[in-house]
This record gives sequence, C-alpha cells and structure tokens, in this order.
Amino acid sequence: MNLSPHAAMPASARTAGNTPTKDRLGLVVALLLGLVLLAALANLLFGAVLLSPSRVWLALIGASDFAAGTPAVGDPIAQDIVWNLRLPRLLVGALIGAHFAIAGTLLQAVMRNPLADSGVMGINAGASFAAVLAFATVERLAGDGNPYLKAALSLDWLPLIAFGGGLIAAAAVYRLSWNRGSTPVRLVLCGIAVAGLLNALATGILAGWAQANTETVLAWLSGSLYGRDWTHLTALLPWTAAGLVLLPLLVRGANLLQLGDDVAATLGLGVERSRFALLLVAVLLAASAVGIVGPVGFVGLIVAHVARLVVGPKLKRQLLVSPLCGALLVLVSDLLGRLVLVPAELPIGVVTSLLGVPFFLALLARRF
Amino acid sequence: MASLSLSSRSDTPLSGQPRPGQTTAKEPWLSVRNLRLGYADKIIVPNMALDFEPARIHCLIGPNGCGKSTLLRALAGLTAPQAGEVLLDGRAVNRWPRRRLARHLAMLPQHPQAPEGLSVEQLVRYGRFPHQRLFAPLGEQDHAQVRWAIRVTGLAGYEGRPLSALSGGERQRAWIALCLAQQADLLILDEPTTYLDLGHQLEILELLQALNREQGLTVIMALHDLNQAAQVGHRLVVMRSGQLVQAGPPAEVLTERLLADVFRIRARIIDDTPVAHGDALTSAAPYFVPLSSLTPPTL
Repeated sequence: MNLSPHAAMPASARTAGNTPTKDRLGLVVALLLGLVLLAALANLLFGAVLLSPSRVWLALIGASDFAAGTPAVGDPIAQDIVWNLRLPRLLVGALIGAHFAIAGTLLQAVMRNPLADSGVMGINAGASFAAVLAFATVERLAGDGNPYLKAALSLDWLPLIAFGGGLIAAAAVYRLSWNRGSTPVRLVLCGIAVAGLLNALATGILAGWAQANTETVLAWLSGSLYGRDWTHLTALLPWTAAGLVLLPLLVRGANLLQLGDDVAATLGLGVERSRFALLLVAVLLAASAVGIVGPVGFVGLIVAHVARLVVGPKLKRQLLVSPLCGALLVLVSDLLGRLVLVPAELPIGVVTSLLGVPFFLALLARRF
Repeated sequence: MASLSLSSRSDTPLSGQPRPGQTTAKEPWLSVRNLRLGYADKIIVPNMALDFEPARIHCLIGPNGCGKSTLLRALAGLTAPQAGEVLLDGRAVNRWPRRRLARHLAMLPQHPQAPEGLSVEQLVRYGRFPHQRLFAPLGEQDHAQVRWAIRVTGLAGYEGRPLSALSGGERQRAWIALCLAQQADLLILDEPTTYLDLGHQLEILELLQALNREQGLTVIMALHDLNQAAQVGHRLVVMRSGQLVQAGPPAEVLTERLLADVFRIRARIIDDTPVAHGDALTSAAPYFVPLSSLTPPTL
C-alpha cells in the first residue's frame, strides 16, 4: 500500500506512543510499592496508642527472637500491639484490597462494563444474605442462653458462611444468565436482579426476624477490619495463591474478550471457557475477601478505573498495578478510620467510600 | 489514494508462501450444505447450499434482514447450524479447533468494539494470538507480520495512536490489519464500508482487492452498495428472506429483473462501465442507475 508520507516518518516518532508508557509502568509499580510500604509503616505506628518507630522495630525484632526460642524481653505491650493487632490487621487489609482490586479489574474487563465490581455478580449480596441468615438462625435457636455458640459464629464461621453465600449467589447469577451461552449484558442484569432480591431478604431478616444484638452482623455488613488476625490471613492466603497461579494463564484471554465475543472467537479463543475461568477467579478472590471484611463495595470499582487510566487497556499491565492500588486504598482508609474517632473506629467500608469516591470523581473529571 | 501496490512485500514473511487456496483453484473448499440457521423457533436461513471459491472476492448482497449477517457468522463458525454444515477443507467449521481455524479464517464483524485507549499496534498484535504458544512472547516473525499488516493497511506511523483518535476509515483499516496479522487465507467481513464516506469506502475495497490480487486472499463480505459489489466481487451471492436467489459472476447476476425482484427497485443497467479501464475498481462488471422504488409511498 503506497502511503509513503507515513512510511517516511522516523522510527523514533513511530514508536513514540509505546516507549514512554513502558518505562512508566515500572515507575508506577515502584512508586505504588513505596506508597504501600509507607502506608503499612504508618499503620504500625499510629492508632489508639502511638508507637515510636524504635518501639515498633524492637517489637518486630524481639518477637521474631521470641519465635526463634529466645525469651522475649523488654516491651510486651508494643509486641502485643504490633504482632497481635496491627501487623495481622494491615496484612489482611492489604490482601483484601488486592483481592477486591483484581476482582474488579477482571470483572470490568470480562463484563465489558465500567460499573462492574464484586457487587455485580451478586457476591456482596449473597455473602450478606448468608451472614444475616446464619446469624439470625443461630440467635433464634440459641436464644440468649448460649453466648458461646454466638461467639463461635461471629468469629470462626461468619467468614466461611459469607464466602459460601457469595459463591452460591455468583453461581446462581451465572446459571440464570445462561441461554445457550452467556453474554456480559445478561450477566450484569441477572447480577443486579439477584443482588436486589438477596439484599431485600437480608434487610427483611435483619428488621423482622432477628432479635436483639445485631451489632456483630451490622459491623460485618458495613465492612470492618476490626479484630482481624492471623487466622483470617491464613484463610485468605490459599485464594490469593490460587489467583496468582491462574491469572497468568487467563490474561491473554481477558484481553481478547474486551474485543467482543465474535472477534475473540475468530481469533481462536474459547470464549465461554475463558469467560467462565475469569469469572471464577474474580468470584473466588472477591468472595473470600467479602467473607473476611464484609461487603466493601467501592474498592474494586474505583481501583479498576484508576489502573486503566494510569497504565492503559492491557490487562497484564492493569493487573500489576491494581492490586497495589487496592492495598494502598484499604491501608490508608483503615488508618484514617482508626484515627478520626479515637478510640472508636470508622468501618473500612465507610472510609473507602468517603475517601475513594471524591478522588475517583476528580480523576474522571480531569480525564473526560 | 494513489496507485495500489503490495509489490514491495518481498521482505515480509508472507511472500513466497503458497496459499492453500491457490493450489486447489477448482475445488470449492468452503462450502455450505443443507444449511439451516436460526435461533430457537425462529428460522432465518431455512436451507442453503453454496460453494465459495478460493482466492476470489465474494460479495453477499440482499435487502436488510435477509440473513446475510447470520450466514457470515455461520461461515465463521460463530453460530452452530440447526441442520446441515459449513465445511472448510471438508471439515465442519464449528468442529475445527478454534485456534487452528483462526489461522485459516479471520472475521471482522459489523461493529467491532475495542477497550478505551487501545492503540493500533496493541490491537494488531492480538492477531498473533492463534500463532502464539501459551506463555511465549511475540517472536520476530510475529513482529514482522504485525509490521506488515500495519504497513499494507496504510497505518505506518499510527502504531501508538489509540483507536478512538482515528478517523472512521483509519479505524476500519486497523481492524482489517488485525485480521491480516492473523495470517488467514480467508477473510469474512460484515459490511466493512458502512458509515464510511465514499472515499474511505473505496479505500477499504481497493485494499481488499489488492490483498486478493497480490496475496490470493479469499474474501467473503456483505456489501450494501450493489454497484460496488459488482465492481469488486468476482462473484455475487444474492439472498432474499434467508434464501439463496442466485450466485455467480456480476455480469450474469446483476440484471434489471433481479434488482426489481430482490431489491424492489426499477433500474437501468449500463453495460459498458462508465469508468475508464485501468482504474483500480474497474472490471467488466455491469453498472446500474437506480430510477425509482417499486414500492412508492402511499400517504
């Protein structure tokens, strides 16, 4: 084809659109890593009790000595705060932030819908419904006579029950939308319908059926990192690992799905299989996170957009950036939530919305 | 657009590669047998038999809603037939492994969508997907094929531009470049010139003609402009309400009778083409002037 004016363009100009973004990816990742570490450090230092950096450092060192068998000396209070409260809490927070972010990024790509996040597959609603139902049932059965049962439910079983509820709701959405194949539009619409139903049922149970003492479940419903510890972290880690193993296999397919089902299929992609696998990974990551902290909605939505605006439409690049953004958003939100009302706390779900939404709107206003 | 030539392609990986179609010029290698297409109770194409010829341009014409898009999707293996089959090299297209099929057959739907911010080069690279192994990055041959596809579609220098920043004609050429990067012998397009102005329409058609002439690319496309279809196509395939009306060279197919029957228009065929010979789109094709609709308005 003879379009010589363009062929004559120097090579540097031709690649101009590529090279800077490639360089920027490394820079963005490094910057975000730095910010996440900084936020983590701040989470260790600040709180109801202010710890000096040296106390935190000694607590970290001392406790690891303790773990190695040397008797701990010195500062048991700092060690307790750092090792039993702040460190597991910040690790859980960073991890659920990453989970929500990856789930949001995948869901927006697979659904080809910029409004998609873990709410869209019915995950949040399913988890909430299951949690509320389990809570109310146990309360009915046990009455006030068996506080042990209630405590066991809130601490040990709520994450698992909510996780199961999220998975079942997502499976129902997928099944309902199936009509000789799935389509993103039907998935989104079925997701909204199922979520609406489950949310109504959960509210109904909470308002009508449950008796007293709804604080536990209300705290969970508003999304909270309060009291999250090492057991929660170990509950999350297998799903994180599963995501890390599966994602590299699925990224190319997710890129192609963004071109539409027909183009993706004629490029040789097994569209349904690829979409199912991507949804499965997103649902597992989101539901496991919702189980731990409750339905924190905005993280996945916002972070997916931020990642796309910063590094462009390729999913590999987005998936390098979005977990860091998610972790950062949750860590900063949790820190603020713990600081503004000392000694009380604002739930993380409230803070991510208060903090994330204005930032998000500003970003959109600048961009569009 | 200046003279059209792909002859400077000797440095590309495509040159010298025999195309499967060329060796078996007489064999119909994409064919449709007893094909019934539809969704659930709604039958769109009741029964169709049709052969396509390798290294030829086939233009599919017919009024709106006659089943052109449905047929094209079935040819690309995107819709499973309710009965009958679409055979490529003797094997039903929807039974080919998708990746292998993608190395032989590329399709551009009517309204392709791209994620926001995707650049021309990023898009065209996706065309290498059927040739890539799972974790392997693009190799030198992949890059060469991508560069070639971008160059022949006249998009050299536009690699880094987002699709959204291109004109309609440029964007359509970028999508064609994606198909070319696929290195398929058969290209199916659903109304590739819709919504383009006349200049850009001719650009696209000339590009397809050149690819057919120089590379032996087989083209099957739906077109709305009948005169363009007659000029570009070696064969016209005429459909009406899901039925095949006629298939053959434009000179045989395009008659005043057919235009009246299928398109409900009164038209005058002008036998000798009004375009000077030697121009890109000129062929011995008939050319017609539409005079009036056969279904005049009743107010």
